[in-house]
Amino acid sequence: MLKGLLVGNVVVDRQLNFLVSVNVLVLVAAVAIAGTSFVNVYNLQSMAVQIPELGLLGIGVALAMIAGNGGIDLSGIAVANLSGIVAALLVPMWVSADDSPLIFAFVFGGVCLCIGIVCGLINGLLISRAGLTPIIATLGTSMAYSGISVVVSNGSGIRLGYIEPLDDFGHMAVLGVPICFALFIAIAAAIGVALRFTPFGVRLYLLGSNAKAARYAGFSQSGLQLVTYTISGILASIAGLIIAARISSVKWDYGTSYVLIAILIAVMAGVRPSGGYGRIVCVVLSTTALQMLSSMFNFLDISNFFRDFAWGLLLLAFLQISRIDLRSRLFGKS
Amino acid sequence: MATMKKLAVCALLLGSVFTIGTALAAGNKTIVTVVKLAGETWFTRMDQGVKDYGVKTAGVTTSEIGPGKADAAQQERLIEDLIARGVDAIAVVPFDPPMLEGVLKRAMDRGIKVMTHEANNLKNTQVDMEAFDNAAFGAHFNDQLADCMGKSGTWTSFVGSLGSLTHVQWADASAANAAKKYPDMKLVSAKNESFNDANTAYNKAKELLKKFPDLKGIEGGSAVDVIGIGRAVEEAGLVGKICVYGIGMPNDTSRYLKSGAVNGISLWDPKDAGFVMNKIAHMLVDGTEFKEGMDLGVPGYNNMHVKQGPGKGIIVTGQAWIDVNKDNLDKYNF
Amino acid sequence: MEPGYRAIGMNSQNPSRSETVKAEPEATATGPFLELRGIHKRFAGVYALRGIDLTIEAGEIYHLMGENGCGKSTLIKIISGALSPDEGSILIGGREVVLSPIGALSAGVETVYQDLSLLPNLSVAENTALSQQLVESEGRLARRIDRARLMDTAVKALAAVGLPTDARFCATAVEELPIATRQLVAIARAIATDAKLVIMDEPTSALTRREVENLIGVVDRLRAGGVAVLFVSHKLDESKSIGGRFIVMRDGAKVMEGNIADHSKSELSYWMTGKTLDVARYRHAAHGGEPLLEVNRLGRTGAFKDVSFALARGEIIGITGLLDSGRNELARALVGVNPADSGTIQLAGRPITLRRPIDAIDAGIGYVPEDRLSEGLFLEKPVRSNIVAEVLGQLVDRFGKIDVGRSRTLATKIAADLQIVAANLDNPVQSLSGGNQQRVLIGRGLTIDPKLFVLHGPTVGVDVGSKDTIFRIIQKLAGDGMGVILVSDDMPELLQNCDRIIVMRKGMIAETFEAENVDEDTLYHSLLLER
Repeated sequence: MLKGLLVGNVVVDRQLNFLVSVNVLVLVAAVAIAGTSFVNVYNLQSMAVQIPELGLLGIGVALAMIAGNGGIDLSGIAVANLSGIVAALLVPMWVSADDSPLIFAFVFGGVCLCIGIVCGLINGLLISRAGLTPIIATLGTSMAYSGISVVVSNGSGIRLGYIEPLDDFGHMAVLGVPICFALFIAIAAAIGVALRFTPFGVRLYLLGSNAKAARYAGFSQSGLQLVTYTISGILASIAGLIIAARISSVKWDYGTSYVLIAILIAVMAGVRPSGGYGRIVCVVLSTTALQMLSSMFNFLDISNFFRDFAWGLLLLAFLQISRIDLRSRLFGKS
Repeated sequence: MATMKKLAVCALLLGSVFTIGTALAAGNKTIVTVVKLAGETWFTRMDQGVKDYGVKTAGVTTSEIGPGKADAAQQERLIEDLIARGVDAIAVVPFDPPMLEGVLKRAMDRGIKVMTHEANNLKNTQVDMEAFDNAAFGAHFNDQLADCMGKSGTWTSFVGSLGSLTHVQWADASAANAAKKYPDMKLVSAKNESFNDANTAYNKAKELLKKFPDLKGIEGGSAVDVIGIGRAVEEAGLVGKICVYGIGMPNDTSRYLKSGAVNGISLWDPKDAGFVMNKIAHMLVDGTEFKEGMDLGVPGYNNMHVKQGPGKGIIVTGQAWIDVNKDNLDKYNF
Repeated sequence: MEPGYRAIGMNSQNPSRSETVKAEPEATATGPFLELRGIHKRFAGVYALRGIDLTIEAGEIYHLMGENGCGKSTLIKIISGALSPDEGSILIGGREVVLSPIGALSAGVETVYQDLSLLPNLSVAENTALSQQLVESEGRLARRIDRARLMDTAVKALAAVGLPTDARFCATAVEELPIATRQLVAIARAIATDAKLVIMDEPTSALTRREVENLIGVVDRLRAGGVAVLFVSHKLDESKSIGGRFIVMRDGAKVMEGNIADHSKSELSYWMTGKTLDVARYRHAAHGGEPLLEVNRLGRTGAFKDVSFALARGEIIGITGLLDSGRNELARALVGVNPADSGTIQLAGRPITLRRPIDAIDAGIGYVPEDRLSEGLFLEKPVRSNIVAEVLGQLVDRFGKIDVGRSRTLATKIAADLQIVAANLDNPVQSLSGGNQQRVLIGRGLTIDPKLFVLHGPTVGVDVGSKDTIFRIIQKLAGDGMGVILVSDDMPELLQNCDRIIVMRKGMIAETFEAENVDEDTLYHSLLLER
């Protein structure tokens, strides 16, 4: 009778529409208030290079949330910093940056990824095998990874100096699009496709939707969790690589504010913290919206407090838009 | 959607309210001062100097902006946006100088003038302004502390963070001073980090008082440290039995200065510093030469000492410290 | 009382009749307690109730029957004040009223919902007296709890339903009680006030036969005291044995009412579904075939032990017993959810170890879990995803991506085969009725091409029409050569569908019966027999 209505799709489109609208609105408002310099190539590229590190951490948090079981990853920035620091300490011992900068850059990236895999695996094992709650496990590993970073770097930053391939990776644009931003979009697209169209992705959503039913249907909860948190670790290490490339420096306490921002990005993308739902395209749009708002406020000399206030307002507006109480109105259980 | 319209109106209103300064008169030079942490009393006072300079000087628009959290990443992003905005000059108080090397270089490459304050290890700056010689300042603290302690006993020091260059320089100079002149003074747990947070300083001080029951002297590092330390001293009932000196803001610390929990604070007026910073930035924009002994028109900055910095820029140093205790407290109302 | 009229389909009254129906000039003692006139209710433009007229007399028993989705729950909610009608009027004691939940309670309408609505951390006494306290404090419970009267009320009501009334029991937190006791507490709460009408929604689902008889005694006493009782139940047999009047609803309208004694179960089923159902035995085919499953001395510590039985292809075996008999644990052990720790299982001649659910799936064992909501369905996910959940790995193309076309085709075929009624397979599965949801889970089991199918309580909370469909499906599964195990506590279901029925008691197999040769009473007797 009444049961054939597309509640699910209605919600999804609303969230996507909201995020697209917000992006457009912020852009228009910024141009109107701050001037056309907001949309000149330099600023667009400048905003574009600031996005990947936040976006990758946001995707990591989103994946953890989708997997359910109170999933979250608080260790993202710690892994990012640790990757950069370990790479910055080890690679100069093997490769000379002056003689072979390209090899240096690749080895640097490789080391970062390895650290990301290891850290992600540790998170995954703690959660899937040792059965720790994700918030506690990743809080603990976050502090552990930061601790290692501090000790290994003696608490001070490590300067990389100017290494052309790395610097290009962090800043250069090809056909107007910064390389690191293009990489971010590629990664987001790959993960989005994997979530939607591969057995792994579908199983992850189902796991997050009902862990018990997933077990009865033969899914391996521990396997899925392990892969999820490892991917999150890898994404964090790529963020670390991008940070190192952008700043030419790595430090253990860089970006401590990113933990909460990543969570904000995921929640404002409509990812359900209880699991089973979330779209990567929305995570990307959420990140760009927050970045543009932030840059717009910087253009206007508006204090960062108002930026945080505006982000909060945006989140509330988003939650209002997605709030669905249609079930009782449409179905009225008979 | 009604919510969207409301959001748009809010954004526009907020923007217009704070855009007063952005109404550029044609040809006005923009100088933006970037501080470590928006909302900290120190930098609120500095803002008065920043505004003052803009009001008193023709052809120049000044403003101050800072991140909401003490995080090098946030400061870096702020500056990226300023570069994209195309300001004429940036005056920065870096939270973590080495982490800004890259972005400041990019600013200068784009023709933006860059000056810094409290960052004399920074390569990519045209002028770094120090209110006084940091080593001398550190030693000055120590002398005051030693005097109060009767030149013997256990003492400890605080810093904002291990990356906060000037704090570290004061603490190190202080330690060196004690080692040279006061052999009976023993330094324990040097350079405790407070992250520019009075509560963190308070908790750390409590710990230290417990750990070292015979502690006789504490030196603060960031402007809020003595507040936390003073509170801990009061609560432990050690007023008058333990010597506390540090940098601080007169109004914020007045309560503890009056009660005796804090013996004295030394500082430089951030308002004067802000004024001088903008003056120097303006001089850079106009291409004025910096000469040894020049007078910048502000008390304490009448005889600037110029020396070569670590990069291509110079370091200009004044003699602008002031000592405040309960006797002269009423002279300083900030 | 209006003569029972036969109107199948839309009520003949004008739906636009105004709401301001004149109330009877005087509320007579002999008039009906509750009257509904021309009640319409819409949800987002679709009718849930169409022109319902209903009369409830004091001291009468009524059975409200109908398939899932017919509007029973909506009607109950309107009577109990939780929803308000869009059109029509409600009269209590001859006076027209606008009901709120508290208002309904004050008027003497008590409801015992299917989920019992007990407050788990509060004590038995507090729960029992809750309604009465709510009414007397006019909803301002926190301010005016009258403890002395609370105990008084509670003790009287508990005694009336045959529960203990000692201080210790009264102080026990409700969450610590077994489900059957909780159900009786919920009923006690309903009768604790001076109720004039007690509505009970599926009140006997967790009760044993003895407890059901006890309940019937309670209901009789209520009736004698002038209280009207309205049952909502799927159990036609039970309703018939309780007696009274019946009301059948279909598609939001009342289609039939009368004395339940005057009509047969098949007539009632016919009115509920509009279809003729064969309510006799479904199992007609001769069974037998090659041996399929051999279970030898299977055991799980603390649950069951020494379970041995065999199943042939095309055979349907039922397993039943009380809640503590180990039958549920046995079912779960056969599908790898709670694995056995002793004994062996052989499937199609090969020994298999079932340590995890995936082992069972790989071995070709399909499973419909006991609780479809918490153990089976991914509620907000599409019907299609729910159906193909176990075979995702088989639906990929050569790039490792799921072939959406194949996935849709498979889901559509399964839905057609099992007559799953869903407007769109992309709708969330929670939008389906209980019967359809069960068929989704059966469909999921079928996707793995099973040799053995274990169905755990397949028609719990499923209406008559869907039950019939599911039974036919089960017969077809057996007809296709699968072995089927039905684990259930619904005796008629087992008798109608199985070849053999195994009765378990206290963790072991007690007796095995040939289904054709046994009746319900013998089965019950075997269930309860003390060894």
